[in-house]
Amino acid sequence: MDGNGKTASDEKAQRRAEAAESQAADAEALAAYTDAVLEGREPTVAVPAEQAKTVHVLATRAAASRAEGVSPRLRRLIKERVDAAWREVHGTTWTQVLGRLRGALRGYARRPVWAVAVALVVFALAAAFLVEPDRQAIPGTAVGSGDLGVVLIVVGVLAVVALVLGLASRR
Amino acid sequence: MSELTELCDETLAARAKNGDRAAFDILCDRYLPIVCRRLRVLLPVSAVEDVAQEVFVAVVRSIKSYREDAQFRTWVAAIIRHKVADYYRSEQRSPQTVELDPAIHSPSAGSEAWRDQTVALMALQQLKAEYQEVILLRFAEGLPFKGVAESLGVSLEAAKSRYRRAIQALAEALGVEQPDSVVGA
Repeated sequence: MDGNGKTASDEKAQRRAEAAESQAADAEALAAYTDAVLEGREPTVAVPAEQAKTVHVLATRAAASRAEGVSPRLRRLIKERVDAAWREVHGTTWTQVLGRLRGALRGYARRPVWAVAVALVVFALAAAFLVEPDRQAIPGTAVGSGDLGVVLIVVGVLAVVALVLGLASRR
Repeated sequence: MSELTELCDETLAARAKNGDRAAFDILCDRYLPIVCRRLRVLLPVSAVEDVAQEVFVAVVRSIKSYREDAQFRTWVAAIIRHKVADYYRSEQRSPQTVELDPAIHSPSAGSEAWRDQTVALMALQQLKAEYQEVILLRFAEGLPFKGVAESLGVSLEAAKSRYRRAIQALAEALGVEQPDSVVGA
């Protein structure tokens, strides 16, 4: 403890506070100096020479960089590269549609009971539509066609259902 | 489209992440000048166009990893930093291997050459990322210190203090003599 009643730790804390204050003042001065340089004004604050030199170099470079702008050629080049990259990442319109379909169907894939139910409904509708052997033939349907035609179309419907479920369960 | 232009960067980025190309195009329009200005400070002029393209391709490829709670500007700045580092690596330069030409090591030996040294040193990551960022925000993007502070998410005093340390670090990295003299008023 000195004659003024201050301990060594008090003095240390005071020195630290003074140093922090001095650094804050330096930072404020450098910021003001930089603002003046960038705005083309005569600086009214003093800063160390090496900092002043560095600020001037950066300011000169930044001024040149801002003055150049972006050429139409560069815009076009970037657009082309972005288009190609976007297709890679997000796919074409067709693959986006497939992706959405897959997403919608994935819910069914996670719940097998619903998937089976949907498949049964599709199958039942197909069977009801297809199997009417006594009626006169209707073009484009299995109505009135022979047994082999009905079997082929039922197999086809089941294949489509299996394909859809397969697509839905793909990760 | 006009409705989209009013959205903030982060909202547009979130939309782009989900495949909204119109939102991404608006982000591209907003950031193309910013990216070019930053690159012109960090790179030789001849490299700016190529690296700018690489930056935007990287943005597209990484957009799905963008987190909405992050500032888009900061996220893009990190991509720029990586691409600039890649450029110097591909040129087989690194902070360890680049030798300063003694003839141009001193700022008094010609400002053009000295500026090139600044460019090389900054881009070669001699400066910490946080120092590089504060300098680029003020000089390349032209933000006032208040804007710099907001962008960094710190107080105005903290931003100015970081800026002072950054300028001092750059001056030291460049080997500028530290005379006792002061410049200014």
